[in-house]
Amino acid sequence: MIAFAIRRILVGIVLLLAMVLVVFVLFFAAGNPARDVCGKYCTPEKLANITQVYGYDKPITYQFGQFVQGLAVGRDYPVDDKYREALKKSNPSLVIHCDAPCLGYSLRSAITVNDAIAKYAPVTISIAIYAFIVWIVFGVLFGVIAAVFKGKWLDRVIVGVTLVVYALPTFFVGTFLLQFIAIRWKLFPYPRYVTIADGGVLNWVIGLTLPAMTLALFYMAAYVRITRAFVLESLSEDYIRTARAKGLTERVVLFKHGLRAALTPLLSMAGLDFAALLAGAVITEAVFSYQGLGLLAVTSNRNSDLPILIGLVIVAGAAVLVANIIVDILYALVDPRVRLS
Amino acid sequence: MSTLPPGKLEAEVTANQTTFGSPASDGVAAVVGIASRTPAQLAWKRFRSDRKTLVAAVIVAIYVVLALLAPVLVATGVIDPYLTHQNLIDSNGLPIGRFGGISAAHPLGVEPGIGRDTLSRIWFGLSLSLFISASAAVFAVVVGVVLGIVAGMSRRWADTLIGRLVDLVLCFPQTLMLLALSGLVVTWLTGTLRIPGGTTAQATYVILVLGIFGWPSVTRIIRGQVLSLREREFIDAARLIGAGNGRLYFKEVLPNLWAPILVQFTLILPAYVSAEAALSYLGISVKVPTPTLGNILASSIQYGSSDFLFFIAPAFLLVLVVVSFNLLGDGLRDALDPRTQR
Amino acid sequence: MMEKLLSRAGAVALIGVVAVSLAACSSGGDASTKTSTVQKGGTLTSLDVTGEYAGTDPVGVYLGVEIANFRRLVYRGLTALPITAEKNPKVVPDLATDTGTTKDQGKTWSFTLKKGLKWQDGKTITCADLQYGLSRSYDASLVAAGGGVGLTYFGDGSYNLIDPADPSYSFATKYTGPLTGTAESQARFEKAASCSGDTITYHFQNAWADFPTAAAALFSTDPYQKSFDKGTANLFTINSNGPYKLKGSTFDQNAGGTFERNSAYSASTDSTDVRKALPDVVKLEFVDSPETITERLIADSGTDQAAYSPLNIPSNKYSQITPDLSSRVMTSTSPYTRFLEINSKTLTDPDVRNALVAATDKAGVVKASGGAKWGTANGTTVSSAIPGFQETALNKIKPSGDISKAKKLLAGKTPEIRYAFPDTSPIAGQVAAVLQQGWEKAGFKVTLVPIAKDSKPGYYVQVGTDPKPIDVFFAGWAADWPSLFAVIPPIVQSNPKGATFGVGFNYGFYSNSKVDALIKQANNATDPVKQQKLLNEANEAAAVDGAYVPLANQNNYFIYGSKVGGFLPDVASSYYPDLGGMYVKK
Repeated sequence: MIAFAIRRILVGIVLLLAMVLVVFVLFFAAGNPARDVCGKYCTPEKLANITQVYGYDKPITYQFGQFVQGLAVGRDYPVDDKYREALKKSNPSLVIHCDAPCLGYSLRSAITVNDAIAKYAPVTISIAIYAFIVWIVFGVLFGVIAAVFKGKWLDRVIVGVTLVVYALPTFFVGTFLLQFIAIRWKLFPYPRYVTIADGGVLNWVIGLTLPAMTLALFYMAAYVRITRAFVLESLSEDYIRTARAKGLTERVVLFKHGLRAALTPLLSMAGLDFAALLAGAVITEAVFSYQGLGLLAVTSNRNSDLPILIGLVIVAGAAVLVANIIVDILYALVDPRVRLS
Repeated sequence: MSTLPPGKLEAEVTANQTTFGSPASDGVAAVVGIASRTPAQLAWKRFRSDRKTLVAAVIVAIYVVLALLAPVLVATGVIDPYLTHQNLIDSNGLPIGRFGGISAAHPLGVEPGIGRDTLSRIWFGLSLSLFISASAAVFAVVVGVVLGIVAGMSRRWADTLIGRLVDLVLCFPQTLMLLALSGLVVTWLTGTLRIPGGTTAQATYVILVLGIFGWPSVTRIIRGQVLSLREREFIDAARLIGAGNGRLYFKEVLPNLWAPILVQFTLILPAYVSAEAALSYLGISVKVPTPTLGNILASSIQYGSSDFLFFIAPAFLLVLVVVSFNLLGDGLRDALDPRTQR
Repeated sequence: MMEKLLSRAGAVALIGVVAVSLAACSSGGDASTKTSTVQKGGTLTSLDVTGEYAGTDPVGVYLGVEIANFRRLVYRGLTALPITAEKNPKVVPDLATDTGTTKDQGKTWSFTLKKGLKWQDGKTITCADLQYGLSRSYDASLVAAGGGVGLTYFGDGSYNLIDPADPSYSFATKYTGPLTGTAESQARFEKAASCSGDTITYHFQNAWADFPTAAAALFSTDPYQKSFDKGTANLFTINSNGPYKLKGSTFDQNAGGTFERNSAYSASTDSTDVRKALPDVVKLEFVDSPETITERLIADSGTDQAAYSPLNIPSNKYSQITPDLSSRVMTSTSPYTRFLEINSKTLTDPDVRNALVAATDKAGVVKASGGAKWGTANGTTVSSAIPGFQETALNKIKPSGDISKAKKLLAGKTPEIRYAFPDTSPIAGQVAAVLQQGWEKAGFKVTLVPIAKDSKPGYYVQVGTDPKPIDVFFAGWAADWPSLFAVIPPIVQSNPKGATFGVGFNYGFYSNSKVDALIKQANNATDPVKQQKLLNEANEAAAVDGAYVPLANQNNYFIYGSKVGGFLPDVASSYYPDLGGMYVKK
């Protein structure tokens, strides 16, 4: 078991490094990073300054190496060694130190990428947790109901509604909730993010509700369908027939045997989806102007803030990788066949 | 490699993947006196008796026909998505007349602010959206199937390699990458590959990137199917008579996969239609004045209270397309897999 | 948004202030001249879109609305423009005791600091702070998005700060600012902008007649505390000497910032003509879409009752502005004009250019952009809000286009042209479609080139560096000072030799020696009326030669909450609502 876990983690680390490499190649080799980061009113001096701070004129292998070093032990900016040493003597306060694991430094926002991500992460995580709870609870609930009442009108209604909700794009649902439900019809307070420290748990929840609903509705629809399919499939297994033949009540059959088989893959899928939300709730956060990682991605892209974009991609990828590893290990704990494959 | 079904990312950028049951079992010898049916015939019978799916299939067929007709009609001038009619707009920018300016010449009214015929725009936009989605789906399915077969059939190392590649691609945050790469890739497309700029380049970008992020889920499913096919006698038989890998994969294995492939394609396509709408909102997809369902929706959303027809028509059509394709896909899956309860 | 990108003043010599006391054209709204109801206290909120403020370091601030807001909240200048509805207000002292003295018709200017001026940490503002502030303009690496506003005027630009002992010394090339400059260049700088007690004296190569007005409108001559300087790390910090100070250490470019009262500020050193500082708290709040902002202001509920927006109401919301909202809605002529720049390097034939002008459906553009509320079709790049305004002959062409005239000019030719425009909203696409239709009726073959709203090098550079040349592109202008000099020369005066695209303002590279000669004469003329006459002649000559395609003069169309008082778009704030006089009604 331990061997499996270790193997899995090592594979994860290799994948993460591979991902970082691909990101570097994509953004640096394909584009012109110094020019992009320089932005709209780029003067030759500004370009030179950027190259000095970030070291964009150095070979890619050097930049990649510096980045990995930063991840491991931290690094200092500007990247150019000679210039940095000179600056340490003349104006030490201008030397920027970035602690490990250093994801980079953004000149455009005068902040280390780690700090930027730490600043914007709480909002995204809050929305994700809230949405997750809602979509798991209601998704599974309605999915089970639909499966149990298969063919009857309740099933048809549930499936019908979820199909329609699933088809609506997130920006449509979000804008509708914002402009109509909150602003125009005043059915809900205008959505504003309130930290628990500032407003208490209740206000935090209220502030998160509309954006979380926008996300949750879509996932809920998907999970209703998946749950229904899983439950139906496991209910058609032979062992269910046996259970029924043995005389077990339908409720026992459903919950003890049918649902359990469906829950494991469901929860693992949900775990992966949750991890993917960390940089994925771009549209929802943009529509509601919530200062989360998704909005950070949109504004960083608009400003060509490459260091932050790269940092976001890596953090999001790492989150998915970690979720994958955890899920695999849990699965291996439960199902010995997986360990041997 | 993880054996789990793949996770999903926010917005409509990936297809809904559910595990597919094992392929249709061989025809079971029937009780004496009743003619036996092939699996395909059984499937067809199940398909035909599911009313919901039939309706969906009809709607999908209508959409496909309309989509194919659109470019022809635009070229011959029967519908015109670009012509502006400023005289049909009042001083507030709204269409003159009730219900968004409906008239004989404009059955769905005209677009606020500029007076383009809404029906023409939606029709042509639908066609373009379906074209983009279908192309992306084809891309994802072709690549996914090929790699899935190879992974399922071959030795450990190839399987592991493809598995790792799948993991790698799946851990990239899709929406983020789409956003960040759009400028770069479009420049590369127009510069290096000399693809005409504007609509063609944007559409190519969307197709490429949706496909690149879409194939891993297909591979996983196909690989799962292939793993169970691999042990069957006909594979052994083919090997015995000296079939090489190429022939084995594509003449023996592939034909048995038509069911999951069809279902996957039918389910991926509507997800890509929604994805294109999301990308339009982010400003990455095809841009006005060329209409797609997505970019029409992005501007119609602001007219909820002022021009309800313009607001609801594209939304309704988008939902109808996506729902129909999904119902059809579900129905196909149910029909082709005898084990799920009817 | 285009308007903000283009809100730059060109080379300016303000004609002697023609005291025209016309009230700014406005209708509706709550004039601040009402008696008694002015109230102190409350929280005022300004709603704007995210991503506009690229930095709050004064050396890099260039965005019109940001300059307007910060001037009233946190950054005081040597001089300031007052809160007033006058179209041509006189500049008044702010940190200085008067509006500056010059003994040589503007080649040197001296200002003396008032007593009792303090930074937010309580330290006194000194002449050295003024020197330090200007010196940072020469550090090109500090400038975030402003593109070197200061350098445009002070360094090898229009007026050129010089060392009086050695006028040929070029600070622009030899001085890299206080953090990295050599000792020699720093010493020279401190002679170019020299301190004697509390008095600073600036030395210029060229006479700068309206420098006091420039000091009010630019942040370059503002003071900056050396002890506060951390180089690029100061990008989003604010060190205030005004009535408010920033809450928290940095301003968030995506969320905005909150400003509370600054206890170190002394109102006796200031004037209520410039800053009334009535609300207790001022919030700058950023939201993703202008439509959401309009919806919130229409709904007028909760804290939004004390909110306003410096953005125009987007045209897809016009129909929701019902008559019952009219007391909270204000329209006025805006200093912004929209026109099309013609690439004179590719469209060299004046007949083709004039055919393009004739075939342009200005009325259609206005309608597509929102109709009469959005703007009025016109025949020039100059806004009717500018003193000395005069239309050109182009205004006589039918607003919906004169296709027969265009066809005659083209004489059977069918030129292929590429039209670029910033793809900021669906409306931009609609406008492009209308233009394309009109031109194709005359025989042009038009290819549309939408430029992405977050195009990396910026709209103008992108237009200029597109592999296939752009022949005509959407543009706009707003003069920061009410003067023809701030509009006509930047657009039609020929560029200096070797200028590349994206640098300078004559993006179409129009060049006409007759026009240049007239502008030069205007520069040398001393009588303001003569200056205006010559500039208008230059504009006319350029217009009938097809230098540009005029489209429309925009209107401002603002909405604000029911508890907002003193709402006044004025010259001092570049026709954005002036924060200096606004208050929250109880």
